[in-house]
Amino acid sequence: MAEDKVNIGLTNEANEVAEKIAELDCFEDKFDIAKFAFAYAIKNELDKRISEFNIGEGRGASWNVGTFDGDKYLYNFIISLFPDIQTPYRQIELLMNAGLIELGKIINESGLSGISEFM
Amino acid sequence: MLRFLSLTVEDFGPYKSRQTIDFTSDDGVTIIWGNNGRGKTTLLNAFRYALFGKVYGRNTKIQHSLQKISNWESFDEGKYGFKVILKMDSDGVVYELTRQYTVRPGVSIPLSDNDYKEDVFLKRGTTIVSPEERDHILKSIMPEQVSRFFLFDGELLGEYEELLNDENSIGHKIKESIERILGVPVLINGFTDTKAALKEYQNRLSKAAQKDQNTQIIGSLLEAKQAELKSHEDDCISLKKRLEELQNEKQKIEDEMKRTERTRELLNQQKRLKEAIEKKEEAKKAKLQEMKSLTKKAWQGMLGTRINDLMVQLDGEIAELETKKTKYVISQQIVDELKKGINTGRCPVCDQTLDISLINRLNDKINNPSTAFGSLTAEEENKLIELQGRKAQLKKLNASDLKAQIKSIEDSIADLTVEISDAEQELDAIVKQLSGVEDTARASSVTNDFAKCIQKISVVEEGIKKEEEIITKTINEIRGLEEKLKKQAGSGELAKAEKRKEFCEKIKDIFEKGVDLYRDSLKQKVERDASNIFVNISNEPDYSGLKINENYGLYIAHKSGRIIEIRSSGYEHIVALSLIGALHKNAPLQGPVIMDSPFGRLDPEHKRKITASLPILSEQVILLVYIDEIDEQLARKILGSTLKHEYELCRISAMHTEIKKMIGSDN
Ligand SMILES: Nc1ncnc2c1ncn2[C@@H]1O[C@H](COP(=O)(O)OP(=O)(O)OP(=O)(O)O)[C@@H](O)[C@H]1O
Ligand SMILES: [Mg+2]
Repeated sequence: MAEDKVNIGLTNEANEVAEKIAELDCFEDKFDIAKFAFAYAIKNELDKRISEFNIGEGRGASWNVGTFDGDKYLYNFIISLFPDIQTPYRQIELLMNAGLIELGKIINESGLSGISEFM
Repeated sequence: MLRFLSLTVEDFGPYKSRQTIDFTSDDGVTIIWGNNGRGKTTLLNAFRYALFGKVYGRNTKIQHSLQKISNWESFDEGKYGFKVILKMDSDGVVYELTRQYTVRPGVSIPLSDNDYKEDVFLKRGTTIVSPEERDHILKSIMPEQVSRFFLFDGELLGEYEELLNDENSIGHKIKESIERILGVPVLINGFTDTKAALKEYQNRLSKAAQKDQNTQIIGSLLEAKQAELKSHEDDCISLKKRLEELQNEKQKIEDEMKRTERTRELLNQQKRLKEAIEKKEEAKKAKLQEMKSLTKKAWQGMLGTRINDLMVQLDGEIAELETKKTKYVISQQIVDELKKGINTGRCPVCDQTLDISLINRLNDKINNPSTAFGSLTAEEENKLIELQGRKAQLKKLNASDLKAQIKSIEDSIADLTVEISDAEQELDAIVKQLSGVEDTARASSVTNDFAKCIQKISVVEEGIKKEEEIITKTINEIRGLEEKLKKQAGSGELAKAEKRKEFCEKIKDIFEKGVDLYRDSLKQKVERDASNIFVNISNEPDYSGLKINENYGLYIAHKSGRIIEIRSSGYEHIVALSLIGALHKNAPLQGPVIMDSPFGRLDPEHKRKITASLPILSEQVILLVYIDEIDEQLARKILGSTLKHEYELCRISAMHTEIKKMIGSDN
């Protein structure tokens, strides 16, 4: 089994988007924004074209997976959804970054007035 | 009777340089025509300034800065200050009153009122009288307190309605002026004087009593009581003075309240808006907080579709494996039955004997079963377990979708944001308006002052009531003592003192009763005369006359006997004019009447009737009207020979008006 990640984080690009979303003042912190972006990626099946996003290492905000996913909910979700994936936390990291980048595109195009439209 | 002979204005408001209006002639009406902004009200003020040194701004406010009166064009040309000369005839004596506002020596360019001084001269015939005599003469020929009935501004006729309103300082002031013009104070003075004389006789009586052995004790008791009475009366007088001061103060505060009403309204609005904004900000904050607690778990709900899709997929796979397993079990049962049949040679279903070829065929089938009925492989068994495991796990992960909830909070936040920004815009506009206001602090403290003043008034009124009670009690005690004394008076000094006192008492009573009687009869006369004038000038045949109240307020009476409680503005003016006419008729003091734009509110028929009755109002009437306020031709026709002069206020510039005599206007 390949080595999974212990810390996951946002790339610079994703971090910028997270900061924009933070301005809405709808999230307690980036932590919640990252999870939201992850869910957005799942909902929109970004996993199916994850390679398009070219996501590198996180340099912005980052979290220890023990903090990020204390109850292992995400972990369980990932292994249920992707039984073949060996590194669930890396998958989570990829997806949350992809989610943010995708959200960033939409925000750039049509602005940001709320988050319910992304749910 | 006082008559104005001429008025000279020099650099007074728009009247640049020296200009004179001549009123000399027999009795009659002078019309001065002037359109808006030409200087009619200013001319009224020129009379006021000459007589009382005062100038009113709009709405009767005394204008304090006189410097502004100095004609602006002349001012720019380096000529500062102004002057008014009023020539008058009072019962055959000619007076010339000059009041001038000139730059103090040593001041080159005046900046404020402090750089000017005011001089007043009154010439009787050709000699200038002393300042004391001047003040005395002016007070008696035209007391300021009654000037409102002689110099009046049509715009303010509405004020007379306040006489119908009991608790009102303007009404109170007007009532005082009315009693003054009617001469009530003269009688009141008579009453106070005899009362003072009576006091003296009462004192002498007690002194006389003390000299006599028999009445010594009563005499000293009487003296003590008289002293007591005096001190209470003094207290009462000073309280009443205080009350008057307070009432004046109240009037001032009321004026100030009126003046600052708009500012106060703005301040209140500002406060309300600030509070509303604060409340909304708070609500928004709460909504955002709620939002944050929702967005902590919202993401879980977003996984729902994926989880459901996956569950459906897993269900399919699981079902497939499970069907296969079931099919195998059933086929095994059938095989067992068939095997039984082969062994017994009889069909397990219909119990018939099976022939050998059939048995062979069955055997063949059992030994080579179709794969469709095979059991799950070990791999498949594991897969099934794994799939079921994943499904159970996913079931646990499924969370509710919060989209609708979040959307609704988002909507409320958006609404609140719009409302806050609207309110902030409104607030900005108010702040801007308030920035032009000089004294916002005063505007807000004035209501407080008003409440305090009312409070003080009620305390003083209470005090007066108490003092009056004590005074009545003391007077009764004194009466009792005097009665006792009278019985023992005999015929000496004491009896003489007694007689003098009684005599004076009777005179005082006459005055006392006289005041009330005079008031009542005056009121009746005023009511009757005002009614007559009213019926004469009013256009409404159903209105039968006017009814007077305690304060000289007048109600319109309907021919049915009903009192018209609500009347129109035009009729308000007609009633006020009727009152003023009646006052002039009953006043001991007779003088010229100068009316500024009195017809503004009236319809042509009323204008016509009032014009016709002008000569009755006073022997000298000066009318300041704008062109078309009354019809020129009609006015000339109606007034006929009573129209003595016509002047026109001609525009030279916005800051310069020339008074021109109209050709052929003199009768
Ligand atoms: N010191 C001054 N120098 C020159 N012009 C002045 C001066 N003071 C006031 N004015 C102008 O003189 C005019 C005085 O107006 P006033 O109120 O006397 O007019 P009015 O004839 O009563 O008008 P309305 O019919 O509108 O009541 C105003 O136009 C004002 O601008
Ligand atoms: Mg005017």
